[in-house]
Amino acid sequence: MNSAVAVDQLSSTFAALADPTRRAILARLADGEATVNQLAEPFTMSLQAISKHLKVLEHAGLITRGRTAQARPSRLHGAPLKDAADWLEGYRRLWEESFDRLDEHLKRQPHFPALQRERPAPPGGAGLPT
Amino acid sequence: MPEWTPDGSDPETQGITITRVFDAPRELVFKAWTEPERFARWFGPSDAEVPPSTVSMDVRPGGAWRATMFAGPGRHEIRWKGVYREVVAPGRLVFTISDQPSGEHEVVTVILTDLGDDKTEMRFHQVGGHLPPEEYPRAKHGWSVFFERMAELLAEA
Repeated sequence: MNSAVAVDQLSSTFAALADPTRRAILARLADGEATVNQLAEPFTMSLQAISKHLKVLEHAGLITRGRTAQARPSRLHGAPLKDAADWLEGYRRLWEESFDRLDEHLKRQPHFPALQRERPAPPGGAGLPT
Repeated sequence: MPEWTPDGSDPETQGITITRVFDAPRELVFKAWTEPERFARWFGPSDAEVPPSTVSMDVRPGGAWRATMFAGPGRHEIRWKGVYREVVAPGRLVFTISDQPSGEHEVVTVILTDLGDDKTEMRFHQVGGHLPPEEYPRAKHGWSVFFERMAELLAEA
């Protein structure tokens, strides 16, 4: 179903997204590239901690970082995110269509309500075999 | 306490949630999920085929299931498999599902509720199983919302 997408890449993507700080960083980068200092602004954590997060995102292929020595701005790389979104969407389509078929299948099933309804527990006899 | 996720977080914000009402009693819906002959008749998109002979189900906690699907005009073969985690007939089924030999899997929860009049509500939830439960984000906005936003932004790019 998702044979075109390397499973390892998806795992890296999902692992990278599992952290709220990294998601916030990605959301900020969606508005345009930013330096480590700019990205660190909303957080109380150190620049070092932010840099660690950026390394994870870079390793997962979700951002690219410029080579300018000082600023090294980070920029969003959208393809892995789109792949992950497509992958999840593929599952959704699979299930929605399957449930349409399940609906049709169930409509064709004869059933006898009186026999298949669960029998109520006998009064005072809860737990005893019927 | 939501019964979807191990950490009780809002199921709507993670993975896939689908709710349907079927005109059939719970027992029949549960059978459709757990009996190979029945499962083979509906699992998959409309242009796919699951031969019943390829479906096996050991419906108990720890038991395995598998099914082979031939999808699309090219009859591309997909080998589905998984393991049951919870089996409480006719109301609750939790199992893993994967099409990857490597063991990457998703966790599916199916909850069936009797609505009376021989109608059943099915609540279906799928969430990624490749992260340990404690790593699941407790964010205000879950993955699906995030992905939707990213998809919109990417579509504009």
